[in-house]
Amino acid sequence: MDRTESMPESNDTASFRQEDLLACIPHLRAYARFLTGNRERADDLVQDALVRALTASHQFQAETNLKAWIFTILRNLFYNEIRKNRLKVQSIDDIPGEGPATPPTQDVNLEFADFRRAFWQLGQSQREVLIMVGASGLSYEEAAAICGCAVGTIKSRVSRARRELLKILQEGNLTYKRGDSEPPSVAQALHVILDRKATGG
Amino acid sequence: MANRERRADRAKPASPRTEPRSSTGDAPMDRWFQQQLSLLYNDVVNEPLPKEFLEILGKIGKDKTPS
Repeated sequence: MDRTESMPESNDTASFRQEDLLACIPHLRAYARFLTGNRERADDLVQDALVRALTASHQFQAETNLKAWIFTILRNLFYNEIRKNRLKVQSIDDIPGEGPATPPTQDVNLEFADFRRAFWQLGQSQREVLIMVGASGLSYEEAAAICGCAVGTIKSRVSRARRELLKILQEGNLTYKRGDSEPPSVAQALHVILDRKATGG
Repeated sequence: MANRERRADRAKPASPRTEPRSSTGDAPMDRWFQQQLSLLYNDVVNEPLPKEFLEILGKIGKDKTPS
């Protein structure tokens, strides 16, 4: 779909440079990926956010953080989509593959694979804050502005998410095993959930 | 979104300005946690950009070029 079709004429009073926006795109993709859990949906969301940012570029205030501004746009689009379509917030269809591209050692690779799996077992809001504050370089204040909540709320969400992730790792409660060569299908994951319910776990 | 034409050369690995405070009181654990999170994030950041994104920006750039 050509998302530029519905765009009004570009705004010559844009207060950010196109190259600055370009530099934000990889970060926007990562945020969207960890928000939605689905590659295609995330990239669609990024495209929509870019179009929105470009058409509303006059609203951007030069002294503020472009990345935080466009993260806010993307997040609003995401939650509007959720509200409108009642879509699943969390998907397990697109859990990224095993480990980093160039692992230093096998042990480190396995460790990272476990971390990745544990991360995807977190809820969407916990993944979101960890990515914003822990990885994307946003401050607590910027993350709070993006989420429309208090700084203290973000701090406690980050803290809870870290504790939860470490607990999954320490207790070995990984839904997916290290040896899995492919991400589990929805059906496989449902079996895991149903098995747990059946056994009272 | 299968077509990917260009590496995201402009993307720099992110480093947080305000690191989360230790929730465990364990600095090595905090560093490890931060490192794992960065690996996870930078895996996506370093993916090649789909051409659709560049087309959107290109179209805008063209609109702005004086004729």
